[in-house]
Amino acid sequence: MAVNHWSDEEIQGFLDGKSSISKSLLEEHLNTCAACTKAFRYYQNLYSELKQEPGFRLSPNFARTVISHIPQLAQARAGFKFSDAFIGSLGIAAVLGVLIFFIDFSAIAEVVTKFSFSSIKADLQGWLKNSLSSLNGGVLLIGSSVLTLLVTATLDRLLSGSKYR
Amino acid sequence: MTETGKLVKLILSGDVQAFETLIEEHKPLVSHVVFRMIPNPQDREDISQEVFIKVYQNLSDFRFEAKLSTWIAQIAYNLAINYLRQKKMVPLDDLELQDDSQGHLIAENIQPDKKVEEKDISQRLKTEIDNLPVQFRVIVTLFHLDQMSYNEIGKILNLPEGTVKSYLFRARKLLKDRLLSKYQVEDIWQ
Repeated sequence: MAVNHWSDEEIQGFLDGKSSISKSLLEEHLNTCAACTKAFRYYQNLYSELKQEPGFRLSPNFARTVISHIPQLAQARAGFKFSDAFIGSLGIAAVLGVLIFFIDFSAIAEVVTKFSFSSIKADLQGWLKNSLSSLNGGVLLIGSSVLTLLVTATLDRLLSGSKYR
Repeated sequence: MTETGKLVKLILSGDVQAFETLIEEHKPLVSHVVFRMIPNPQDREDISQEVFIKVYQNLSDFRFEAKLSTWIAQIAYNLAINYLRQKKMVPLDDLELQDDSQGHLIAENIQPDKKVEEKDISQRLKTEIDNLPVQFRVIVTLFHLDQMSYNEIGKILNLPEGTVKSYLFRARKLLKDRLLSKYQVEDIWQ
């Protein structure tokens, strides 16, 4: 009795999901035909191999290299950003605020006017002592300053976070 | 507006990060096409860069008539073909396809290797893919690795859908027959 084997085209069409032949009909035939089962498995294996990545990878900094070769984009990347400037200013203002609150400028002025190496040590000690003693009662301000710095850092991370990827 | 539309609009307005996103999203597709067509690793990197530079320069001409990925792959294919032609690396009969590519194997020309291990099959397959005509290589890659349709592949290679389907069938039959006859992989693929 003549056996109708599946052609390569029919098997490929089935594996591509573009065949009108139903899965049950295929399975029925494969159960009784060793030649078609063999051909079907060869193609299954080939399809599986063809889905494997070829192993070539572009360099990790590929995107940045491309951008550096496009003058308009390279300039934009290096250019001024309002968000960066705003957050930077906020951070500097917070740090200056903390310094101004704690520093005793009269002590510094005194050191400058009475400048002599012998008195520097004593003056610095006095200034340090004054500064440390002025911390009493300023815990709330210290806390709020630290919080300001943390908020600034978080905002910076959120607004320009993708550049760290 | 679609996500692609928004991305294109941002890039055209000079958003560097949007263009970086486009590159990251389409890098695998471009590397697949370029890898299959260009033998030299350094040239692959250079041509891939050139693809994205050209994408940026011509993005304002993109009319959304095809998918962005199809348009980018078309640029990659055309640049790679031009490169091969400049280097005289594409014989005419490669592009026009030989009789052998009808899927019939000339058995007497093939010297079977020793039996291969399972791990070697991928490497042997890569070698055999490299021996295919350039259009076959690209079609097989775009269909199996990038899950593109006949229609999309046809647009990239400027071929009718029927021709893409026929070339894909012939390429896979060639690969199967060559692997079976040349490397005796049938024991592993049982």
